[in-house]
Amino acid sequence: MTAESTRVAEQFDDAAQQREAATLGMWAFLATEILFFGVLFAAYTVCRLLWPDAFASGSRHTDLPLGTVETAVLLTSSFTVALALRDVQLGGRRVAAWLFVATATLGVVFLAIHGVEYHADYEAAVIPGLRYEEVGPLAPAKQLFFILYYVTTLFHGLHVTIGVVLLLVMAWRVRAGAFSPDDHSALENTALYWHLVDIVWIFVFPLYYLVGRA
Amino acid sequence: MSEKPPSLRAHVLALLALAFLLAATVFVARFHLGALNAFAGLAIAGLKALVVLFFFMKLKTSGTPVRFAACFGFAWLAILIALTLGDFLTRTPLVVH
Repeated sequence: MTAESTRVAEQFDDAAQQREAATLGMWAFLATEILFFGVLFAAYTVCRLLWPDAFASGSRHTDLPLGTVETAVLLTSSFTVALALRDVQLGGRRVAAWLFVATATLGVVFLAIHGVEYHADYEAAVIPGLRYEEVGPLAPAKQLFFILYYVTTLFHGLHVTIGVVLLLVMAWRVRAGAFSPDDHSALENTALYWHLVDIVWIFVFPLYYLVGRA
Repeated sequence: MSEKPPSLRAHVLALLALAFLLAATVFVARFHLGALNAFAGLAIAGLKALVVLFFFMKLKTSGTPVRFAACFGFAWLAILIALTLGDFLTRTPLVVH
């Protein structure tokens, strides 16, 4: 690939500068995403310090084996999207497109497993406002654990859903030959978004699934 | 001029490291360590995040402006949590445990 094949907008000196600007802009957006989920983690920290026993008890309601599988699925999807990007950088198209599809599929698998968990939560009646039948001294504070759990995981699931759509669009565009090794900022940014969604889950896992398991 | 693609080996090693850390965090959570349980969980999560940030998100090879931008989100979050805790941990207890 030659530099001439890259579309460089007139405000940039060259393709490298244009690429770095795109990445920088994406990171500025990701900083807002970190803070979006950050307030939920801050609320979690305060509530857990105030009601440690209720949070340990609430955490034991979550499904540890399924949560572990979900984490493994998301970590693997980060790997496949990184491979997809690498393939595009090496001039690939077909394999890269399939790797984007594979990543999106792992995202759907994650959402499906989480759906199973939500169903089990409904059966166990631990969804405040919808069906909550916990009793005992910890029950009121446990509601806070579950509210934070649902708000965090539902917003995370929304991000996964957006990511899946983006990945499928990118798979289609890669297949159509819309990108080249030195012109693929949209792919780079989609991958960064997907990795950040993965990082959010990396912190959700120990905070909501691993408390009180000893 | 296109940037150098990362090596396949680095990506595979990153995935193996993440799998190992996932197994480690689940394993450690089964032991009674008191406050250390929460610390271990967060420390391992931090390590996993660093692997993703440096290898998959390419901060290892990014320029300084991108690295700064990546730090800002986490730095603001640290300030947010530190100031919030500074408030809650120094209050006279209002809530009966």
